[in-house]
Amino acid sequence: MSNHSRDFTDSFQQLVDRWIDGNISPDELAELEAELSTSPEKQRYAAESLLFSEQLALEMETPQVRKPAPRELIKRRTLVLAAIGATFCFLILLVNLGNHAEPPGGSPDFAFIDRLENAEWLTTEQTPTFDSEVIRGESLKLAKGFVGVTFTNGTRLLIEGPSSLTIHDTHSVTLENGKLVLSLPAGSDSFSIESAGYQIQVASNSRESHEGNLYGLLYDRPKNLLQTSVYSGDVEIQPLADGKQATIGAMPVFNEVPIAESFSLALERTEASAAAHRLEIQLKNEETGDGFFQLIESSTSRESSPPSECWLKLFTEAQSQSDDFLVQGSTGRIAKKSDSFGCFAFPPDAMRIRLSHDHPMQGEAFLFAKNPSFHRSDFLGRWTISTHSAAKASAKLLRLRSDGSIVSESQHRPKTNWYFRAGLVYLIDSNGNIKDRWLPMDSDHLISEADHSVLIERY
Amino acid sequence: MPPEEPQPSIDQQLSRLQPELRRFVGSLLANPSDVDDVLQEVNLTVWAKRDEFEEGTNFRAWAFKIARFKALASHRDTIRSRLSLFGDDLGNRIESLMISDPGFTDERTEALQACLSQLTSNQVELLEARYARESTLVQLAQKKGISADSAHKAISRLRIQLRQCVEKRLQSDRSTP
Repeated sequence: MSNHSRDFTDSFQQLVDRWIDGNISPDELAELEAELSTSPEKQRYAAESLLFSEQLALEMETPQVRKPAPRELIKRRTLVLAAIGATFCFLILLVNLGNHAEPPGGSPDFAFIDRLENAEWLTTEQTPTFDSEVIRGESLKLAKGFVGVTFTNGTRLLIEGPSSLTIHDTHSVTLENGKLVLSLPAGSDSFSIESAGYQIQVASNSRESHEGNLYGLLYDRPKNLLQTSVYSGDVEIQPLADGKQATIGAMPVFNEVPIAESFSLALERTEASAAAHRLEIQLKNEETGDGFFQLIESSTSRESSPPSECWLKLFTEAQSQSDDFLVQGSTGRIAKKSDSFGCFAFPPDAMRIRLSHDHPMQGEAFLFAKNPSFHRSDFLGRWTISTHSAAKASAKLLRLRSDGSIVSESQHRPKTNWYFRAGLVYLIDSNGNIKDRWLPMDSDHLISEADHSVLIERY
Repeated sequence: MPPEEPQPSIDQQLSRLQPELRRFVGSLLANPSDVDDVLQEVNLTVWAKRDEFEEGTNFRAWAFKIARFKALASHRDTIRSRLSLFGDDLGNRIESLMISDPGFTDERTEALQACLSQLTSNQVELLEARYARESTLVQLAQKKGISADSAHKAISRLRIQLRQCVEKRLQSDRSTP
């Protein structure tokens, strides 16, 4: 690591810092990317800065390995005692907030606006700014754009306009109309959302993830449509009064969705190849409730050269052909064909393809491999897809159009017991400019331009 | 003249290295169930970056550098998430630079620890708020009566200060006989 900081402008260094701290706006990100793209030196600075920050993080997370000087040891002990005292006071404050001890509007601030993107408010009087406090009972009426709110207990809300939201306290809001994503830290109290005559209770169940729960809600008042999306954790939803009707639709993933225990289908390579690859496919239900396909090589010859790439082609009932996706090795990474990764360990011993989607999917899938020896693609297999939404914790790897065809995949890598936490979805053109953005539960976005990529923010 | 023995291809070298890489990755990870995932990440990265490998240099050392970085990144969500913000090409280039960086040597870690011990309690508190998982910078900023943006700027200044301190210490150590 070398020290280049004096060689770069303050604004560039600030952009790098914001990127490292996860505090960068999309416009700033585009600016940073443009600067980095043309300068290897700036790339090196960014790489070193991120590494240094990670080294610092390791040091701060493991204070027991630090060896402060004796003078500092005393200082740190004092600091620890002070921190305990401050934490105690802070906890008392939180308990008071949780008990509704403060009258509406009369409490110290308990939530902040920590994000504004293209935000326009419905009324001219209401113009909250970045870092401004939110008062109990305050209504946020957003005409367009996005607003992020962080509560003092760590709960975060992301709202997309047009939306109208009333914040009652640190664990309850009413969504009169619009869209929100809620991020609830692990170990915190449950959070209640009232909307469309329903009460939605998001529990802080950290069974699946140490990162807490993530939940999305869309209430389209004119259409009387209430759409829920559970990305991780448990959610209960119940009508506030009998006879109240609302459409709970599109992603009712809070229900336990039955997934077949397993099924298998023999697949054989059919075109010119010495090696006959026989694959089995199983649809499994992991203990976490996720569904995934597992292809297991049961009988094969490894004599032929490994293919340079392999990919999966998905055909759905509603669409004659969808995008191509590479199948990477044995850990289930799915990436776009254009990524041009190798697939050297093929046939895989256990290739997983995790498919999570907004709607039940019917169709067929074809597996191809490109063999460098033959300079052409080999057809490896074909099977029928018939799945329901993965129960709970659906990692947003694939996005579907309303007709069921695939729009995009997340750039994040799925891991067992690792769940995608989606914030904003960005549509980025080939020049790196952000063309559109939306909250992830909105599945109706159509992407017509082929050269656009989609980036899903981790929230 | 006997024919020259052909140089093994990247995938052949990588295949031979699998047992060693598996042991190495296993030694760096706390959770044995992560080994397969990380090893596969290492393999994919070696393959994707095969053009960056210089013929005639030590393939094993190069692959192990990648393995070390992937093991680190596997339990550092920040690295993954930050790199994924960029397009694949730029993200890969920065990742390559991080892989080739000497990284967290004992010498560097000791220098950082010494520099941290010179910070004031306020500065330590700020760093702990930024990097400790239990609290957030927004909470600390609230307690201190400053804006979150000011807290972020203070963190940036601290990092620069610490990096300069570390570099200075390393240079001083190297120049001392």
